Amino acid sequence: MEENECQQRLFLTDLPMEIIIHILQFLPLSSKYRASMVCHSMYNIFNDPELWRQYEVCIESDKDNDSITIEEHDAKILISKFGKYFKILTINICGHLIGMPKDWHPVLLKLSNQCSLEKLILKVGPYYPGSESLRKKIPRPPKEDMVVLLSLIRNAKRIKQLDIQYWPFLPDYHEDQDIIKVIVRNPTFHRLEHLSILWPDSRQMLSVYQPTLPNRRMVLELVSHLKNIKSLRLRSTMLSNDLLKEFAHCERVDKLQLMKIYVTHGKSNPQFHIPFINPSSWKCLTDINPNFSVNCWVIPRVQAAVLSNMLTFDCPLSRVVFLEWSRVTDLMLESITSKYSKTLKRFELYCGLKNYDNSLIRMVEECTSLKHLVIKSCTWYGLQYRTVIKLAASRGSGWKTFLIDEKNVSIVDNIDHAENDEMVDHIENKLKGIAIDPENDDRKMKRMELKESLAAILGSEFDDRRKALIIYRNKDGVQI
Amino acid sequence: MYKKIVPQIKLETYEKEVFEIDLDIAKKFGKLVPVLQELLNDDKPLTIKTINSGTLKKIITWCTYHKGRSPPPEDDDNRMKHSTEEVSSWDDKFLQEDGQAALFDLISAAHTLDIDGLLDVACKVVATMIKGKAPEEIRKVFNIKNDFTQQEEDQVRKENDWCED
Repeated sequence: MEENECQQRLFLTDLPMEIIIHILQFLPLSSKYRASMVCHSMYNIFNDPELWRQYEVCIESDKDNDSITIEEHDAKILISKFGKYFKILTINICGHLIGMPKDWHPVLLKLSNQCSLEKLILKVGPYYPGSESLRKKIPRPPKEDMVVLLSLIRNAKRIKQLDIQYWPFLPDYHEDQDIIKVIVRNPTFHRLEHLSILWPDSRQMLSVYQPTLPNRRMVLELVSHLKNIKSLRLRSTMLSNDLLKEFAHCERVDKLQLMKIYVTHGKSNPQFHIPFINPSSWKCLTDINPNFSVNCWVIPRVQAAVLSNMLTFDCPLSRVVFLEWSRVTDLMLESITSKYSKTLKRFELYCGLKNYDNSLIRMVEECTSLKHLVIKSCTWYGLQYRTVIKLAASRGSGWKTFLIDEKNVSIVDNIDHAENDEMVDHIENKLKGIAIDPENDDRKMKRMELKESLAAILGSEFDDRRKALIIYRNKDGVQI
Repeated sequence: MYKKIVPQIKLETYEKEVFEIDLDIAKKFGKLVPVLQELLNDDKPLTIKTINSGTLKKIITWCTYHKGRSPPPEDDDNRMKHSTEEVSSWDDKFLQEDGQAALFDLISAAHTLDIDGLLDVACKVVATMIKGKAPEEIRKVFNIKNDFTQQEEDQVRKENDWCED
């Protein structure tokens, strides 16, 4: 970079402190430290609580005690020095919980007494395989480790948000090793507003391995103690009529606003059966909280009838997402349309589906609040050209999100792309990162026509977040 | 061909130059969102004294380039704020081509106008300029004067030498 001689601007004096903190947050510890030795003001920023507000403790548990890395050594000093400023803390322990190095115990215990956390994210242990036989082979984490980790919860005073991404929910724990019992014994958890239990942190992170889930009774015990919950994320199998009744309790008027259900299903394992929910249980909840809504992410290949056991009439379903590995049928779309025409606001499809044009059109026509539509399937099954136009026209500029991946649109009617040689070309070109269109001129024309018509129908005010555009190819997207 | 009249708002910079900005672009300015409707109806421009013309031009170019480029977030509440994903080569070149002073002006303006994406990417560019450098090198790059006495410098070093890799 060229240095300008007459440049008067100084990095430190010109930018507000909060921006410099923002910049330093992108840097590793060693770079932060070297920056602190530049001058007084940088040194002060290095010692500012705001810089250390958010921290992730990473501990590798299944390794020799001798091979302690420099990072872990530094992390311990950092925690003892700045731990008191932590507000948002992630505990990330990978390995199979054979046990963390013992010298972490005093560090974490001291931290639990010093910091006043607002948000705690627990990633303790990997997913446990759901199968009984496999589970028996995995040792229980040492009880000292559990007691130490739970001291963060035992000593918490103002946690508003608790996100348990993984945690060994094994049965028969002693009281001081059982996360649910520890939470229930801490009265300040009354203030907890957001709770997430074993909800994956991204769409990509899903796997066939299921964690060992807390059972319905355990979840009910936990939730009964948390009277101020505003949002709850959980797995479908943790849901029960009793849980919904608890939320419909008169103490909880206008509390719970959002429930996100992650639908997991395993026919062979009773732990993963989808529960039967009475329509009246949903009804009681919406009577208490008129704004309450349910979001549903579906991963497994589950039959419409089984899903209907849980998604009964009167469930205020406002968003439904079918993930890559799920299987939707047009029957399922129709069932959703007939039950949730008043509440459905978002519909997202990431899995493959054939010949569902009519069901989708009906859904959009009948669900009048539906303002977000995403069709982004990894397969080449497509919607007909005229279906896309029809869908766009049904709301026009009223769509808040209208996103249909270009490859999910059949330009030529009634041609199944999946069987076509062209697909191979497409994929190869994509791998090379070159967007060469293998199509002939006729198709290109049709595609252009489609984009122009859609631009006209949707209005020109495209915003990628709020009023999204339509079609995009690879990363950069094709914009209208 | 179909062409729609694009609603615009007016902003006046430090140099008293008036810019007409498409509503699509202006929507990215978090600070202006609550007053957009007012600005649309008003013929008088909104004056922002802390932003100069060069910087505003840059902001408009950046927003125009990124319009519709990033796919919408799949789940709003899972958005990682401090993800250290790479800065694209276009952004890197665009943000650095006018020198450091202009970059800091841009950061400051992005902060004032509350343009999230731009602020993050520009801060990342600055972070890469600091990364891996010794204190003396950082001073040189950013033209910062060392205001520590030798004694203080030794003290600071001693206090935090555990951070060194």
